[in-house]
Amino acid sequence: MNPTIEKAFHHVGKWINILLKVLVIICVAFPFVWIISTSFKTFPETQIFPPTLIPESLRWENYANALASMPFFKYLRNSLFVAFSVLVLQYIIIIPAAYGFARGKFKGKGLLFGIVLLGFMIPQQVTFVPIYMMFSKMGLLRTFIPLIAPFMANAFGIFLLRQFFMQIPEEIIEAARLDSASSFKILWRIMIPMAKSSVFTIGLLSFISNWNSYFWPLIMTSTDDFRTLPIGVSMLIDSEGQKMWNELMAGNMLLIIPILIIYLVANKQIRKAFTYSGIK
Amino acid sequence: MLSFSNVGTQAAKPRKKKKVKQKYRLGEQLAGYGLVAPAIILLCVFTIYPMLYLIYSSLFDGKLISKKRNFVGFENYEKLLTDSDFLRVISNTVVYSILLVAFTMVLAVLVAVWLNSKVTPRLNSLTQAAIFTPHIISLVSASMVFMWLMDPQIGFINSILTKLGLGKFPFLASPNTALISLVMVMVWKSVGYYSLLILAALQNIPPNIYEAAALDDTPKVRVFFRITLPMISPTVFFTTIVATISSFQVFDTVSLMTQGGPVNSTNTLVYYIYQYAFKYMKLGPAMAAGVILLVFVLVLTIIYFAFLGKKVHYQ
Repeated sequence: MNPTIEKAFHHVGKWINILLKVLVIICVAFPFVWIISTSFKTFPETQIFPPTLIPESLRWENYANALASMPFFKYLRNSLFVAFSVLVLQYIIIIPAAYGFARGKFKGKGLLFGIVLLGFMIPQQVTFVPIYMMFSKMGLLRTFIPLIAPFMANAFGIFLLRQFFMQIPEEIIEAARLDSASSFKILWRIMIPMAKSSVFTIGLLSFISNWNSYFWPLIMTSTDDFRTLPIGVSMLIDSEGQKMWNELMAGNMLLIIPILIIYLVANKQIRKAFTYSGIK
Repeated sequence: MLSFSNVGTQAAKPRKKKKVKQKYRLGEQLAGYGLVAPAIILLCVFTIYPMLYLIYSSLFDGKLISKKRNFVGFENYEKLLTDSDFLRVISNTVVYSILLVAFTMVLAVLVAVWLNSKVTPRLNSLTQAAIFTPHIISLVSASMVFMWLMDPQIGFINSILTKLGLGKFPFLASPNTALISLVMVMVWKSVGYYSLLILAALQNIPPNIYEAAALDDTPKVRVFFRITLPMISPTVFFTTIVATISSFQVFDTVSLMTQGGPVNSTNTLVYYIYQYAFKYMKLGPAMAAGVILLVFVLVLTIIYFAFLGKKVHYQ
């Protein structure tokens, strides 16, 4: 083939490639654009067919109405409380466990690790009715405990950290032992700082999944005192006969903005973290 | 999965070296138990016990609140498996799962291969970041915006279809199209995630394999089927199993978008369990259906680990 024609083909191909990628980005991002656009429309404007993309004017009162039709700040506080409690408490449980499984020498280690693997593979969609009954019998349903306790022994976290601890060379620990450092000191001063990125990854994944969670709080909560934000936002839809899409979308904006901000700041770390989560 | 199997092999090596029976010191043993005890106790309380209780109570008849239980043996299972509503639920779940996993995996592989090319690196990472975004937002928001986009009368998607002269699509309003509409939402939400996993596998393929193909001027399609696909096939296999397990647990979109309707066309296993336990207050069918889900998850998990073990072994 004539080299100039070949070059032209190559050029056209490159532009088609770029165009397709831009098209994919637009399609995938469109629902987000639609949430924003609708959240600023008037109600009559949402009923026009075919719909318009740009709102006539920015109706901030949709946000005020969404905030007023639910105890938003209570839900927000509950969501943050649950997400941060799980975040902190799980470290207390999983870091020692992961260290024990990686470095400890005790009988039945394999069997006990089997329990971790089982905890990792059995989804809560299988066990939620018995767990609900257990909390009900213990009279704990009207507390935050059902939203926090089942997530403390994060089996995935144990698994990931154990892998990391196993890769730390034995010599480093031996050297520390010769300096007569205690096991606790070895864990706290050597192991954890070295595993910083895994610890961060686990925290990030746990926070995002708790913030977004719908299934678990739906089952475990029955009053506003313990409901989290996703439940609150989902209840906006039941509270009206006709769907006020402008206010519903404003309510959803309040739910996704925090996550989108985190994603904008740390999108590379988040994607890396989710690559690790591929184990599950 | 990729990270899983890699770490698995690394982990296996040091263990094999120390095959000689070790003598455990008592203090060391106690320290070990102390470290893992809190986690093991919590896992027993929140995974092992509920699982055993689920199996046990599936043999009883009872209500969520009352304490009275009658032993009925396998009657709950018999009733379920002869109930046309439940069989519909199972077939919905299976159809949903097959459609979702097939669409997601094919798209994820294509997207990953496409974004792995070196033509437009900056745009590639932007595209990757964009298609991953739906994965990190709540299913509540995803479900709601799609209900609105898919509104049969005034929805945005129907405005586009009308403009193209295709007529309106009923989406969630018709029993024929509701299930596939739920599949579409989840494809949008999860393609980015699975393509991320496959992209990681693609980047682990040693480049010198491609160099030989480039010397021979092998056509690109052939390179894809003869080199790329076989190299990423373990990851694709494990990802497919994980995706299947998670698709069987579909609940959020059903609960938010359709409540199982219209006419039971989107009622799926977990939603069925939820309805029986918390709406109809009948524990027997809920528990038996839970055991069926458990068996399914366990079978897939065993397949996963069986192949994982094989892969580690042959490496």
